[in-house]
Amino acid sequence: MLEDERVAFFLASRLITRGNKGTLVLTIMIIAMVFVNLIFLPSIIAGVVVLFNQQSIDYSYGNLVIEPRENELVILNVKELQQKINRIPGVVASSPRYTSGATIVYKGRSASPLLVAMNPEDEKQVLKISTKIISGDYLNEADTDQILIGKTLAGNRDQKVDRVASLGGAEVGKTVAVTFINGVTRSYRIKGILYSGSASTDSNAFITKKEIESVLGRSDTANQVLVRTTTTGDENAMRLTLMQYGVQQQIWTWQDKSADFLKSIVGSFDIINFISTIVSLIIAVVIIFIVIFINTVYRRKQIGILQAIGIDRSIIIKSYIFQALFICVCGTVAGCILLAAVLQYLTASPLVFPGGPVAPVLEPLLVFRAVASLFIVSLIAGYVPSWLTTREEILSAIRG
Amino acid sequence: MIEGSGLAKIYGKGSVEVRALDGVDIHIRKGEFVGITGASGSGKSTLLHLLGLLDRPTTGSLAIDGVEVSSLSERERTLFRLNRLGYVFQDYALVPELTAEENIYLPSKVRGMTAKECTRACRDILGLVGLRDRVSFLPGEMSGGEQQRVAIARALINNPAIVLADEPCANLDTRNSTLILELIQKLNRELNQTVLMVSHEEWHQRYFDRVIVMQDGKIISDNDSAGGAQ
Ligand SMILES: Nc1ncnc2c1ncn2[C@@H]1O[C@H](COP(=O)(O)OP(=O)(O)OP(=O)(O)O)[C@@H](O)[C@H]1O
Ligand SMILES: [Mg+2]
Repeated sequence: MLEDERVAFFLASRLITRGNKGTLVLTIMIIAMVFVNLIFLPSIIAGVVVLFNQQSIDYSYGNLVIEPRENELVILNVKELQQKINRIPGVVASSPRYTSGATIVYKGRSASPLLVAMNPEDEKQVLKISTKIISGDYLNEADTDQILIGKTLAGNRDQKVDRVASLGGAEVGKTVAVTFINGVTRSYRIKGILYSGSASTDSNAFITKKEIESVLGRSDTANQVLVRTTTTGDENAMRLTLMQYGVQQQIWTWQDKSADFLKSIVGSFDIINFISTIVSLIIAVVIIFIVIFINTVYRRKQIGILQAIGIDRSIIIKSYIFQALFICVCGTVAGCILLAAVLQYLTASPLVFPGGPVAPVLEPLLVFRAVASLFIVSLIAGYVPSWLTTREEILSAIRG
Repeated sequence: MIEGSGLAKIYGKGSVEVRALDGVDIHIRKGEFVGITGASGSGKSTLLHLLGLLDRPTTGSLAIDGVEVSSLSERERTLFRLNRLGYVFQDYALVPELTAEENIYLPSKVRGMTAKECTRACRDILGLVGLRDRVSFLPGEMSGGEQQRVAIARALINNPAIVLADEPCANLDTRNSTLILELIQKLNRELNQTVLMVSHEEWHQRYFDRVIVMQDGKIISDNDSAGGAQ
């Protein structure tokens, strides 16, 4: 039986090497582009997901988020809890926060952002907000009359440019009035403006925890403790470790916190991706099918004669499957080169998304899936047309 | 070698039926060089197609080389053609992407011969048909006569019981036709190869041992020296 494959391979190799090179190269190029298309979009999407995940960790949540026990509004004795957490192996640092709503007024414009109160030094070790100050400075531990605001919240003078209610172009050095949840109003000087690229963070305002404690008249409380761990990826295990070390509050991972947001993004990307994949594969099937079909129809008489001199139909079909596989393999190789070029280009001049440059992520599974689907496509596109042509009566094929 | 009796091939049905072959009895012995002639449409090709297992008779029985071929399955018929029959067509019918040598050894490769065996057998046969210096020529680089000699070599490679040729000289000039006829005669005489050849050229007949003349799907004359049926 292997003899048949040997002959089919022999025939296929001669038809390829001595056949029409132009069509062959063109077909291979099309398959190469299909291959790139099968991988490119999903890898960009994967890159976007990686970016969003990193943003969630770096600007919103750290690795773990500790919140008050169920039915409790705040975490008491936060300093003690923080010390306990910081001693747990695998924990880099933790940052207690007190978040609440507030109304900020600037030059008659008002906005109601999330007001985050934190210890600037703790926060520095958990999040990277401190590195994203685009004008002015980050907060100090001792700052009481200063505020840090996100770029989205600061807004633009030209209101049309803003997508959400903003302060209409608040600048560093200007004063804003903040009304807290308990009705107290205080004035703050804008110390810095933050631009992290993470939409939610850039709409927030930040003051020191020390300041909110004086406003609310409470101390040593928080309603959130963000935790940075040494490695990203085993948050679930770390969550259990924290529980084993006696942390009784609710513990969330950053994935838990950003799940809905990511799901909606990935979900819609997946639909686009699915459509693009199906269209690419259909193009691949049709192209290979047409090339093989035209080839077999053109050789109808020759195929009839090969059958007449005793060459079994299955050998002829296999030789066309081999040709289709050859196109597929060359297309894949050419596609890899093309893809490498595209990736090279994207590394040099990355796609910039809100939140930073997106590097395409090449997942092995993705590449494998693309190769496997092209393989199946070429099996079908080699088999069906040659099966159709060899089905004909030998005599009518010979007569032409 | 070939025992056919009552062979008929009827195309169509009822009033439009065409009796391409109308009850032919044919007996051919090993080593004969038989010519089949007759007017156009007399059923020569139809007969050759039946004997070459490219078609099945409507009625009649046929045994080749001791095998009752009507009982063979489609796959067995393909194998039978590969192993016991050699076919030569009017228009050479070589694979344009294969060299002379590759065209010739393709059928033996299918039978599982190694590349070495193929090449050796091929060189011998190319020598026989006088094309030793055309081994690696592509069909497009050879004349019609040369291509037909390659086709004959291909028909011979598997050592067939019988070679069937349907007007192999129809596309050739007189000089090349003579070359082909002399070659077939040589194969018949020196290798004792049984040959059945269709031709409607009067002058070809002097090469044949035996001439069968057909008309309207019937054999109307057969100069079988040994008395025909046995
Ligand atoms: N597939 C077919 N359907 C219908 N009639 C056919 C078919 N094939 C052959 N015939 C008829 O059978 C008869 C014999 O045809 P055949 O090809 O055997 O003639 P031939 O002797 O080889 O003629 P030529 O010398 O022109 O090649 C012709 O009348 C032809 O029209
Ligand atoms: Mg004919």
